[in-house]
Amino acid sequence: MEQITIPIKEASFPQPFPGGLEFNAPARGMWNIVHTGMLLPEAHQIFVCARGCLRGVILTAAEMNAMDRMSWVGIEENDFFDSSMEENVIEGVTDILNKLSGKPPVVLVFVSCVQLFAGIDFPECLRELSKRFPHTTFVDCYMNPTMRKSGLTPDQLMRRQLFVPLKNTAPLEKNAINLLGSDFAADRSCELFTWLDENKIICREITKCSSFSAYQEMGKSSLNMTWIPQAVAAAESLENRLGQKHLHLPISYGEEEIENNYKLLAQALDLNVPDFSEARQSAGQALAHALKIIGNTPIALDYTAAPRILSLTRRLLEAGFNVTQVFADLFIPGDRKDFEFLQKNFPSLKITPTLHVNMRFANNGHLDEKILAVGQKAAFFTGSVNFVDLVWGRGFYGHSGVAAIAGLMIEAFRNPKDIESVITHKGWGCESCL
Amino acid sequence: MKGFLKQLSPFAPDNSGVVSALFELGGLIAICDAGGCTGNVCGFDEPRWFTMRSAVFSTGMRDMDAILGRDKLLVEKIVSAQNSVKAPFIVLVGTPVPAVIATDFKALRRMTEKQTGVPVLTVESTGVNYYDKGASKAYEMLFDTFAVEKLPVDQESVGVIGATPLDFSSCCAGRYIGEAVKGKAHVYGMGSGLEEIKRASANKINLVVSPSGIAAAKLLEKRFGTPWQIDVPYFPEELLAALPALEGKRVLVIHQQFAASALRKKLIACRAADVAVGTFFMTEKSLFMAQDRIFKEEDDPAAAAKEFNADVVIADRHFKKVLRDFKGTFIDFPHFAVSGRLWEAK
Repeated sequence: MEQITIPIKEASFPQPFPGGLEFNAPARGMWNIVHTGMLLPEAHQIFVCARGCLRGVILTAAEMNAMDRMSWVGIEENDFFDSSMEENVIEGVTDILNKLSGKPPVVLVFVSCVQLFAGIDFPECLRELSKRFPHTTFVDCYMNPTMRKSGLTPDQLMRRQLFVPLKNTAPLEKNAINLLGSDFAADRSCELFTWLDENKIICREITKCSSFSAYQEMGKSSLNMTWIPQAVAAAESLENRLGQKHLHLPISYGEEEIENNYKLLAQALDLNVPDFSEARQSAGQALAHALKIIGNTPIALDYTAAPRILSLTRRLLEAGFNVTQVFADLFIPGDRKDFEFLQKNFPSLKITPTLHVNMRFANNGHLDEKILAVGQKAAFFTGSVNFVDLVWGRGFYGHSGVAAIAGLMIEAFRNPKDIESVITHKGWGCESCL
Repeated sequence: MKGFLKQLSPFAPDNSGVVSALFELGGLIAICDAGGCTGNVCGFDEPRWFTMRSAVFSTGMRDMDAILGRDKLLVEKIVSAQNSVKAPFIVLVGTPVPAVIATDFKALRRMTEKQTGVPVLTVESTGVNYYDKGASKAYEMLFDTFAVEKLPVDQESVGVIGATPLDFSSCCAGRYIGEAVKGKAHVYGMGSGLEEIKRASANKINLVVSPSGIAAAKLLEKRFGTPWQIDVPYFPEELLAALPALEGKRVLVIHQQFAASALRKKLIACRAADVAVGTFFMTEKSLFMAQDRIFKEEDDPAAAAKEFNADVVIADRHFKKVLRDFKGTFIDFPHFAVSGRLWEAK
């Protein structure tokens, strides 16, 4: 069965392929709501869901050795119809909290699509729980994959709810900013952080918070910087609630956009626009060095590798790499400029879906030539053991991020990996007991 | 509180059981969900997902599909997929959302059959029951649909119903069971495919290796007069090697009932003092003994071990967590539907 592939010149934006039944490739490095929720220090997660929904989330917590921060209530068929939905949440959560040895400062309470379809009064549940446990902050959370294409997606919602417990307890600190929305700790070797340090600007991020009190410090920062569109809703909510300004500086792999982001940040912080020419040159040199080694080897990328996959594709193509294929089902609005550029300048670049039913039978494991894959799904579909295990950008940013990816490409080109053992590890970067 | 679990992770749900029973049979399996359930089924409950290319897909249900009941759109998606896959049959698998919005699976079956011309099985799993219930429905529907022709009985032919990795915690269980059976064994869904299912009437006998196989075996008995018996002919050597040392001991075995009961026979043969069986899953009355227990809550295994005064517990090591006061010997007996752990990974 042939792959469904089209040249980018024939692809429509933002959705190049029609919807249909969906294949779920066994690449598990991308994070889910459980992983993201675990970023909130000392928070306890309680899922009130059907068994079918619970199995995956609880085993996720088990795999990451975090079962002590997770509890759940399994609902049964009659619970949908006997007016006990709210009672299940209230009494279930109460019972769990009464049995925990210490009371967590924050409880993330999750319900799923079925309760929402059945009309659960979730706010009332949380009001009652707040009365019963006045020293605990309850956050409404949602495992609702049916909302992937309307309103805020579950991913956007989770990233927003993660910051609901932040409170405005003191005047905002002008010399402190937050980075919101990244699953991974930002790579602090990036020129951005060197510049912030030089100007004595503190940059807080949840991935660096080891306690709930450290997390609360984020409420004092005067500005929230977001790198991915999925975090924008969180920042907008905080701007409304706490008065923290929001600046969206999307991850980019293009020189011009990177530096434009820095200019915007400099303006917002009332600082001089920095000179990043050294970092820019280093990135260029890293790419040139990688090109010498990788040469004309075909390269395939997939959308899970980086938040702006077309930006990365464009940068690699402009640097002379032989990028032949991008695996993606949907592009984000921020991809449009790069999409149009690639259509015009690299019209034969192949776009291949990951969800299409034919991809179940993709020709993985039978390579006619060496391919360098960037991303877990690209590795799975091409069957290339030479792959960069890059998930959602890994916290790389700016010129140094480009250089880091170039380094990873060389490493992957030289050293094959076992695809199954690497890509079936759930939640890249998380602890795993498997 | 009912349904409250703190130590044990939830067991594999019925929709996973459906997929597990049908995974190797070449059908197009469409899970009626938004992608989350399919992710759970394939990512946690189907150890063959990486190595075998079965056509299991999500229907990609969205909120407006559920609210407006867009059955026509769903059928269009399935027909389009079937045009690519060209599967001999199609399966629609229920999940919590279709259960709540009362999806009309019969209508979906009729519409899909009409447009694709292949048999369509609709298994109305709900995601709130355990895997064995889903597998049971799937086996019954499978044999009801395909085992229709009465063939001469082959005296060597033995059908094996109820073998899944969820029950036997091995991707190779079909081969092991087949080798342990006397005669020409057909381990349905784990080595034996759709053509063998169509020829099920030729079996001299059907062996039922887990409770999920009972309904299908009864159907075949009624339809063709094929006798059936409960038997689990295979246990890993590692487990069997541990049994002789249990002479004189009181042993509690926690697993699916047929495996646990078959192990009881072996333990009694090794002169164990007494053996009780405990299970969270479906049970068959004929195997049930006075000391056996059906578990509902996670405190039940500990209570059963205490009440039975067990010296030894044989169970998935996942249960160790809830056997708080048990001070005796614990022997690991993986149950994939419980812990997601295979013998191969042990």
